[in-house]
Amino acid sequence: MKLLSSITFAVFAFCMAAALAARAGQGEPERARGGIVSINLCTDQLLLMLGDPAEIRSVSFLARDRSISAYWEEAQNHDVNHGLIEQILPMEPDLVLAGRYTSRYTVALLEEQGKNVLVLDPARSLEDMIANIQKVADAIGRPLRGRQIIEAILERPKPDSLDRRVILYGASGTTAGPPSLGDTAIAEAGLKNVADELGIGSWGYLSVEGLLRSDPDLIVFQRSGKAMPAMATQLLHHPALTASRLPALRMDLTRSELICATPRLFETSRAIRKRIEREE
Amino acid sequence: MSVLPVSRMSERTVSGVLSLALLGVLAGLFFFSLSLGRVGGPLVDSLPWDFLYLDPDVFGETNRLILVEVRLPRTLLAVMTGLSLGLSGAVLQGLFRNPLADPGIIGTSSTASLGAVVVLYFSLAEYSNLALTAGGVAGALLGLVGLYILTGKKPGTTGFILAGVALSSLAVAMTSLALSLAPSPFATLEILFWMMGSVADRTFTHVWIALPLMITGWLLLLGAGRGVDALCLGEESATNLGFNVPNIRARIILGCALCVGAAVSVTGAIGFIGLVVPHILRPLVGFQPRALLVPAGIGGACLLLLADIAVRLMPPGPELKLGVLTALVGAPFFFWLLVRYRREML
Repeated sequence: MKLLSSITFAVFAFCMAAALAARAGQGEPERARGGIVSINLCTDQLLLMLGDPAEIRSVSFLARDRSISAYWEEAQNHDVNHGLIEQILPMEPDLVLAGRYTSRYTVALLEEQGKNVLVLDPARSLEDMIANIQKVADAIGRPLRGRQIIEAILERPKPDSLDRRVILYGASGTTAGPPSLGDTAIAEAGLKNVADELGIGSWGYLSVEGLLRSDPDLIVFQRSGKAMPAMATQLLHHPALTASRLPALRMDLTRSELICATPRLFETSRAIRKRIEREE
Repeated sequence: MSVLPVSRMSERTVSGVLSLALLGVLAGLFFFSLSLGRVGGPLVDSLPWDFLYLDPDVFGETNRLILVEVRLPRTLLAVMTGLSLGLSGAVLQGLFRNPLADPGIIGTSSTASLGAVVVLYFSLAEYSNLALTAGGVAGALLGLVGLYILTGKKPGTTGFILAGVALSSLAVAMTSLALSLAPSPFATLEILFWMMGSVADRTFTHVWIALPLMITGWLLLLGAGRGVDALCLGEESATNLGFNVPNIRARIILGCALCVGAAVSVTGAIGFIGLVVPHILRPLVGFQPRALLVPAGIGGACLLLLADIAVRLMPPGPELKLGVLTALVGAPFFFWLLVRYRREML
């Protein structure tokens, strides 16, 4: 009985303390700006693109990795975080940018703490890219810059379409059909995606034989930049794919531009198109 | 035990006839495997039989590449791996005088995976296939020596299984740990590869690296045939008959390590072939271990190739790992074995 009452008291005391703390938070005058923290590779890149460097408090550690981040150079000047609540709370950020499917628990905890969190859905198409740029620009208080970038995207020069077939081929034999950024990059180059013909969705596997059989005009190898040994990347050195008599063209691409939707995707498109045109 | 179905013929004759028959089956499966492909989409496709003309003008360069660089190494590796596993299973069942000995169950495949994984993901030198295979062989060797030390001279079934389970789970755990610590972004995805092997999209490089080691292993194991026969009678009797028991044992362990280590380092761990094949064939050739070796090897090659053909005939989607299929067939076989032994004990 004694135990029960002491537990009840403890719970009560805890609730009171929590309520008081919450009220104290509400009543407090606004702090000096704590800056913006991003905990997801894709929001990192949008923030680095749109934000004022002085406002960026921290980006995720992945943003500095040149093999996966298109804005790795810009990220070198900023502090990095590992998406952990204990790192983020002491920064007292005004805004936290997070991805829908990463650090779910961190996001839930931050929201519980009353933090301002913008959760972004992963972008798989041009429309998604534009919507995400708009959202981040609005949230960080730079709608004008966002609008400028979006206008530039909408007014981009479009190459005329060519009847040439391209396939992306990455570690473990992965390829991408629609809707995906890889497919978008091929479409933007005015070319056709073989993965789409094969009925492969936004992500799928293709064996070496399946790849050869699909008879593409260009195979775009997506290498991970880092020369880390793995069975997965060995596949890209398969003799049948490197054979000199293989009818298809080949090119290498680091993956960084097709992981997150940023305007740097168009650079990839131009590179793909150039490779095809050089042959004609 | 059951009555031999062919008690009139000598076991060696039966073994020879059976080997020839299995070789015929293997040849058929070999050509079927070459003619059968799996395309990324919903198609299960097969090349026309004119693949026998390798002239690119008749056959097309793409088809020639598919046949020579994709299907041929895959098929050869399936045959080589199956042969290694079947033969190792048969010899190990004789050596340990235990019907449950199989490179997968006694942990050899797992320790070989561990060796290969450590070399592949942490090699400071430029990664080479040779180092990878050496790692696999070293792992298999350590595993087998460890098993032999753990089980002692007169291994009972319980002690044997315990040692195998312990070694196997330790090796699997260490492999997962090594992969979690590996700096490669793909490492964690590849745990599945090392636990459940596959021969998909292998190349001739893999064949040439595994083949010399496997051939050495096969020769060592086949050469130990008479010794395995003698060991059936127990180590003391074998010694009394004039056999150098430690020598035979070392030769078998080295042979299995070479075969299984080389196989695992290019295909990942594929289980149950070494368990199932000797059990299926033993009633046919009788119970002389030596007579079983060659048929078990060829039978293993047939079974693995059949499994790889089945994997390619599955409905579309990511290709099923070969090890998953052999486990799906092998595990029920294990149940059947259990039921049979319980019945015999009654």
